[in-house]
Amino acid sequence: MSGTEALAVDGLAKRFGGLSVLRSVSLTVPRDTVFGIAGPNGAGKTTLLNIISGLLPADGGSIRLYGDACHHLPAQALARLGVSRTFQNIRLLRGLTVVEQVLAGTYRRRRVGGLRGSAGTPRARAELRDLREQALETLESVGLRDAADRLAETLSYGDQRRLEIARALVSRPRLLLLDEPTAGMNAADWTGIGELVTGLRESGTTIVVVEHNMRLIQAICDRVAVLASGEVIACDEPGVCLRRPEVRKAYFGK
Amino acid sequence: MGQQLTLLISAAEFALAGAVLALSTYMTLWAGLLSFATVSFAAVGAFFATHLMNSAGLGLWPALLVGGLGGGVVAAVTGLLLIRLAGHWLALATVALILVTRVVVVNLGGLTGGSQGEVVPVEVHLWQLIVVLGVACLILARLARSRFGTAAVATREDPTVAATMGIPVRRVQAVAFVISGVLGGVGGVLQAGLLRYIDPDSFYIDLAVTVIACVVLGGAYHWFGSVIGAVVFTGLPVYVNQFIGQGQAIIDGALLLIIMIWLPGGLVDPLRWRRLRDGRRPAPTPDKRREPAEVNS
Repeated sequence: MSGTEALAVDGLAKRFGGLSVLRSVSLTVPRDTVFGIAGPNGAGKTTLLNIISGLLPADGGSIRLYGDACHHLPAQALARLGVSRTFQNIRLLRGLTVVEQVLAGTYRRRRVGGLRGSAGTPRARAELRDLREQALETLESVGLRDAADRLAETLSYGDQRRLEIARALVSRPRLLLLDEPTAGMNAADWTGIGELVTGLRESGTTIVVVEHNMRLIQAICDRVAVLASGEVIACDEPGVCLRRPEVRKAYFGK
Repeated sequence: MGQQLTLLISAAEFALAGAVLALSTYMTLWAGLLSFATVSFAAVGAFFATHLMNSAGLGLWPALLVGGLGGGVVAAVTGLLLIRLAGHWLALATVALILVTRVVVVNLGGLTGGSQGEVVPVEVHLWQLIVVLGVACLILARLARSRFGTAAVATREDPTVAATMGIPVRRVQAVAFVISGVLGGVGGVLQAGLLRYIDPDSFYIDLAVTVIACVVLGGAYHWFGSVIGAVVFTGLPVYVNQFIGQGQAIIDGALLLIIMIWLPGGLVDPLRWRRLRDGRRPAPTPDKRREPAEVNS
């Protein structure tokens, strides 16, 4: 099975003090798909994403990334294995321009480091030029190339979300985790994000997206897992999943 | 006139030595660590080098090397213990480090002259200070454009985001701390060479306050801010002292207030300049820019 799956989560558990946030969560994300994680507030969606990206240790269970166990690795090691993510509350780096934000995302692809990198050798300069070009291309793909030299903080909310996605994308992740990429957006903005995500799947990136917006989930996800009170209550194609009575109960209370 | 020139040179010399110490503190702030340990590194560098100048007849350049090495080693050892501390706890721990350093200096009389202090046999000249600061600035300017520079800024602004970008946050901070140690040690030797006599009080809390003022008020978001800050807060007082004596403290205080109120980012503030530049530039027309992404829903 490990040949076709990008991410396999098995029996994952997490407690904060006396509160069980995740109880034995298991799900499998096939390669080159868009996988949705839905569920009401407090269901444990972001906690799950934080554990997968290595920001939180799990209390139990296992995670395999392309067949390799990785639940003991910290975030920076997972980033090097090709896991990249965005955040629910946009987290850009203060004081940097749009293109600099994306350049920061190329860190793990910069090879000329240490003294050689700081000595400004031709190789170091060539590498930086090359990465800058790639950063601009990535900005082009999210529609922000014209804003490259502006301060990131001057962008609109929707554009800041796009920028965060560009920063995650420029590292060429094998697994991209998006935490509510359309939170607080208007319909025009979120359809744009939807098209961006489907475009990424075509180019061979596996994407896990935590999302509240059911219309978006139906539009872009190949499969969706619905979480409620720390458990997966349904996992199927979006159309099937959202018709299930237990899912409707979790969302609408009946 | 000759006396004026001497005073001016003296002020410049203290500014340059202060700038090296300020750059040492800037190094740690760059990676998001608020540390006063520069003073401890300076003390170690100064007393270690002075001892060797007195006992082994070391000249200035080898003394700088020894001082930098001493500061770097102390930074590596203390860094291992301290870097894991968060925010203000690290700052407090480094203040404690200054206190501990003083106790050690007082009690290692054979090596440091104890509370009596020690005469520094080698004099530092203006050109030597210029060379050392020049090299330090060159290294920092290069670092700023390197992979390390990117990693340090990301670590300072958001360590969590930095980690998810694959940046080894702790290692970046450790490297910054050690470079801070080397610069601090070198700065300590320069300071000793200017003072010509050092005792435990030469490297104590007041120096820590001056150095952090240089960095923060000079501008903590660019290395050049530390240099400008050092000119204003270590060089200027030496020069102005002749005109107003103790009144100099009033000028210092007024300067502090003016900068804090009207230039909260410090004298050298690249972020403010960028904001001003962006403010002058017309915003790109968003509709045109978005067109391809918004075709339908």
